[in-house]
Amino acid sequence: MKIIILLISCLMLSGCYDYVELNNIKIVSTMFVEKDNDKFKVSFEILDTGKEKNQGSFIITGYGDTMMEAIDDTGHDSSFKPHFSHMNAVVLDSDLSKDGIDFLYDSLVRNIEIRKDFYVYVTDDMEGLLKYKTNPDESIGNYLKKMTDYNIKKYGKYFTYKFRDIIYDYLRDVDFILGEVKTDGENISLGKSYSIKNNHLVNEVSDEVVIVKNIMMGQNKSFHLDGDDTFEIHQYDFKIDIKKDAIQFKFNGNARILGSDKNNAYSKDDIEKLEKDIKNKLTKIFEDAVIYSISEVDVLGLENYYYLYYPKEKVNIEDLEYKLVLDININEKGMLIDSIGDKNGK
Amino acid sequence: MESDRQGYFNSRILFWGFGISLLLNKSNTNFWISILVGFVFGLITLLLVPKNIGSSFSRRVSGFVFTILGLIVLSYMSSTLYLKETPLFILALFALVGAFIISGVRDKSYFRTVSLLFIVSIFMYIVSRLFLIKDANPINILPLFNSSFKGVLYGSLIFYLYSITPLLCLNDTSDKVNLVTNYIIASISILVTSTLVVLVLGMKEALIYRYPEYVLLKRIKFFDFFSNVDNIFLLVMILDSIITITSGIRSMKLSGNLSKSIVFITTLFSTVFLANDAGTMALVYNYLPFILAFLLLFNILSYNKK
Repeated sequence: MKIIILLISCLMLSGCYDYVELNNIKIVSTMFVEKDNDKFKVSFEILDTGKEKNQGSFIITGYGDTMMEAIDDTGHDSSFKPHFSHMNAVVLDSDLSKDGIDFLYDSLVRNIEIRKDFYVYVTDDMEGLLKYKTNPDESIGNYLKKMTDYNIKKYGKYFTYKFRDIIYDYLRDVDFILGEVKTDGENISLGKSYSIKNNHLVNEVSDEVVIVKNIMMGQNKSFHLDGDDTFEIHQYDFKIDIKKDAIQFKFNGNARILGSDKNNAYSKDDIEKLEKDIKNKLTKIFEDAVIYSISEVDVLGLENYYYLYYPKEKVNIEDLEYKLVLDININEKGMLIDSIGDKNGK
Repeated sequence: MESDRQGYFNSRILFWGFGISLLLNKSNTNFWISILVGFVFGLITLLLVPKNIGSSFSRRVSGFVFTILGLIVLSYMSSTLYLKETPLFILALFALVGAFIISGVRDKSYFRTVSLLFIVSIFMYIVSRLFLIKDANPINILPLFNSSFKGVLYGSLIFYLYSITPLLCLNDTSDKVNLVTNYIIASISILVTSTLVVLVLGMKEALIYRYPEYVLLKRIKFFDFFSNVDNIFLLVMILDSIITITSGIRSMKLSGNLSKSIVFITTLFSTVFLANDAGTMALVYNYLPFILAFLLLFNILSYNKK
């Protein structure tokens, strides 16, 4: 018996017979999906880990009648196993997104290797992105992720969903937003944000909608309010109260003056005027976002919010009353006692 | 008497990959009511059940079934989540060899090891859940009271059968204090896990996964430097299955190499037959409550009158 146990233990020490050599694994940073003559075209941005590299990544491409078939077809372009656990971004062609993006969901959720926290983007310029030359140790996916994180956290005027959040909203029949990515050949940059209704790209959404969506998702730490004066809203709390006949948004936070041409020297009244100005701007932003959400695409998920609290009520969200309770306090003026000029150069 | 923590592992094992997803599916956002109701019924059963339930034959049958179930949970989970290319036969073989070796040790050493593993399991369990609290969103539990009474009742039955049956069929029922303590700790851990599954993933997403409790572990992230740690915390589930397989083997009270060999081969091939095919696994998944109900009744009705 002991000899048998010893033999089996030796077998266990042999390790996994189906292991893949590290050199044969290539890390996928970005997946690009588009349609080419009614066929899916999937391209992977693979990190170049070679010793004598003059680029950060390279592209392999596959075609197929379905996305999975196209993914499999990328194998004809390579001799290695694509490794998805570090994928940072999926970029979808905007025309394909107009036809519907639900082809993406099942296979990506089913695959255990793929982490679900990559960002999803749309683009009008797939060709430009695929031709983009990365510098050593740079990748499009990583660059997009860093840029998106920074913009969402800091400015709030750009928004795109992580795949995990898309699934979260898709399962609840909630519409969502995808951000655009573009390139001029030299640089890659973030563009506008677009609404996705019933998994089809519908139209561009305004900055106002994006700001409110960012606030609701709780992903950003601050955002900017532009106009004659520029403010940064930070350290804020946001809450939605759902009542039977009304939805109330409660927002309270602090504002930092980034630029102003108004007298805001010593008088409390002057500061209060500025606070009033901020409140008006925020009210307008919330109004625009709610109007867009109830009349065009419900990217704020108002219907779902209402359903969560009153699942048995059959109410049209257009018939609800919308209230906004704002409490804004200017807590920082920066280095200046008073405005020293017109920031717009008038 | 030394505390016996085997029941804690036995009470939890069937929830991984089987119980939690089915429970959520039946009782939806009212899962917590189902768990609480099932828990109360379980507690009453433990207190009322005679101290000497189960004949030698019923214990052996239960041991055989739970050895297979534990092995199915372990090998199917490993095969689905990590070792996709490794034949299920190899996975089940190694796990079964390990469990047979452990089951051969003296009672005292065995229970001491289980007590030690209990501490490891509890520690890892608490740490993993603490990391997840920040991702919990209370809105995910809404709408409340949105499933039918029948659904809640079915959910309670699932919780009751999945936790109580292995506990009563594989453990010494004369020590009620140990039994109740293990049951309470295991029930709390299942309630916390189910609640976190719903609060973190949301009910709709929790329902699409076979292993929502594993998907939950994948969400553990502490800033940017502490992530991808699901493998470590999965150890908790592996411990549950290894100890349940061992408990099953011990319950069979095998003596002699021939009986051991027959059980070894039968268990191994039954597991491979059931777990190697998605169709038969669907049958096991759907009929498990009936199998457990049968085993529970079988043991209660055939109690030892000595």
